[in-house]
Amino acid sequence: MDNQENQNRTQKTVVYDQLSQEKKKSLSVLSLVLGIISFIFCWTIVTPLITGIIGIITSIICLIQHREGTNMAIAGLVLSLIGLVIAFIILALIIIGIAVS
Amino acid sequence: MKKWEVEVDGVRHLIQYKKGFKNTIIVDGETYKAKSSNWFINILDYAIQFGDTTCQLVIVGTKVDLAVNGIFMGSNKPYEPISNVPALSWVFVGISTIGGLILCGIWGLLTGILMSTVYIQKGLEKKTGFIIGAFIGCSAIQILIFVVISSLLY
Repeated sequence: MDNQENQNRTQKTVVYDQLSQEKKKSLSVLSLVLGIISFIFCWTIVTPLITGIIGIITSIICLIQHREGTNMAIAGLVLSLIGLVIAFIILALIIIGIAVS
Repeated sequence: MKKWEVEVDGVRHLIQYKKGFKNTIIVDGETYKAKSSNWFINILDYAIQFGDTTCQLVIVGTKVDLAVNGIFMGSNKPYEPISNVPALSWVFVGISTIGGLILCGIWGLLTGILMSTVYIQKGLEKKTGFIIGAFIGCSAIQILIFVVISSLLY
């Protein structure tokens, strides 16, 4: 009886992170989030320059490495590009406006 | 500090969760470091295996619970892995925190973090409508903070 109890007590305890075991799609989620932010904040000019460029880089990494969440990465890439283009158009209009005035 | 006593095959095990600068899980006096999977919110899903029996320690924000044999000890609800949270919740977490920070600084970030725990908890319960509603509410609050701060500054 005592022997069995001792055996049970010496049973090895294993502690592990279950989230690290899963295939991660965090990079594709990040690229989508940055794409949405660059699209929403395209009128601020500075924000889409930062978030848009990072969004494009992260989505390209997702697509090249064939990570999980390809659709989200594509959506992130498109939104980042749209945000960047709109920001550049607004910036160009401001520069033209200043030059004309 | 949270404490649970679990009996597995007639042997009592003491599981403790200590929140501080670094999260630690103490199992029968042995300390294990635990790392959150999210930058902004404390999110952990750790499995503690005693032979054939596995306990799951789940932490979302300030909510801490231990599941034994697939049932949470605190809420008596069935265990749902954090990996089952839909991508929509994670997207909303990102927009609310990063977007909130850009829009109205620290207050926006804090509002985003507060609401992010709701997105994840409701995401586990598969309540998509509630998550979308919470996101709209959070965005409305952040825009309101932005308007108030702008009117005070200019």
